[in-house]
Amino acid sequence: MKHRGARPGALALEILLYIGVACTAVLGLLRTLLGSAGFGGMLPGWAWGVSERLFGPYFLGEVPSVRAPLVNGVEVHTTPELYAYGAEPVPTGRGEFSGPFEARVSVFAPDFTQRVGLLGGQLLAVLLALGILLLLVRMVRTLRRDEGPFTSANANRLRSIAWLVGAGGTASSLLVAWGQWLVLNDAAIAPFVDNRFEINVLPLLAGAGIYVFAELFRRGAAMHADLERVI
Amino acid sequence: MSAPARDDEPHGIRIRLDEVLEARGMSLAELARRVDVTVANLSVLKNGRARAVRFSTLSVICRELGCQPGDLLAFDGDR
Repeated sequence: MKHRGARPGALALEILLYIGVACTAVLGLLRTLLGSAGFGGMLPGWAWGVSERLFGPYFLGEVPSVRAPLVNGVEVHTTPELYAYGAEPVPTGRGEFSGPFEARVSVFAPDFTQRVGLLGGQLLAVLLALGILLLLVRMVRTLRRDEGPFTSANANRLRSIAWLVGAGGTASSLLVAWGQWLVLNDAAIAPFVDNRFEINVLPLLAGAGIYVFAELFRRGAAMHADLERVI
Repeated sequence: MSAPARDDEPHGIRIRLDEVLEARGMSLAELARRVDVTVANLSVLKNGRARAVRFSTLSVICRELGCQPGDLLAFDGDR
């Protein structure tokens, strides 16, 4: 059975997805690896200067920060390592207040475990996005083929995307939550903030939804295969 | 749900469309034009590569060729 879909549209979509892959690789992967939470500290000063001149001050990422609610009764002036928002720039400080009820702790020099949590979660999310985009490229490519997109291979790709979103996204969320918990658990910060281990369940729900869709797609593809070469 | 039929699933049905066409002196292209089925699809049917035939297709082919379904299909038990 010949499939005659919108082939020029499929080609345009494939090109767009390739652009997405390239942007994710450069802006996501490279920036995360070379940013403040990655190996940015090992870069020479001129490298930062060049990136700032070419792409702006935030190309290599901002200093990673963690937000947390303050415990009741904390006053700004009682926390020597935290500085009131609007004070002089504090390059060696551990954080700053952004409001009366919430602290934003900027991690200027994360230790190894904090780095693993903060960077690892971010890096995993970028790698997952790259994997999902590449799977989508291969799915869109089938729109231009004679057999069309309703194949068991595409059903398997959808199922892989479901696993990447559900399991991978949850793992990334767990890593980030662990990294943030480590930062807030620092002896100098812990007394002043309410450190709760919170993870994002959205990837799990989205992954389950995509898995259901993949199963429906698999059955549809099997029915479509049954109609092949029916005259 | 049952597994989808495989391409190489063996069956003993033999299509005798070419014999009937020859007896009627009609070409495949002419039949395709009359029954509104593409030559490619009729070729698939003629060469025995079809997986199934719709009753509607069988009906129009029989009508145009003036034959019965049994004239077009034969069961070859040895295959």
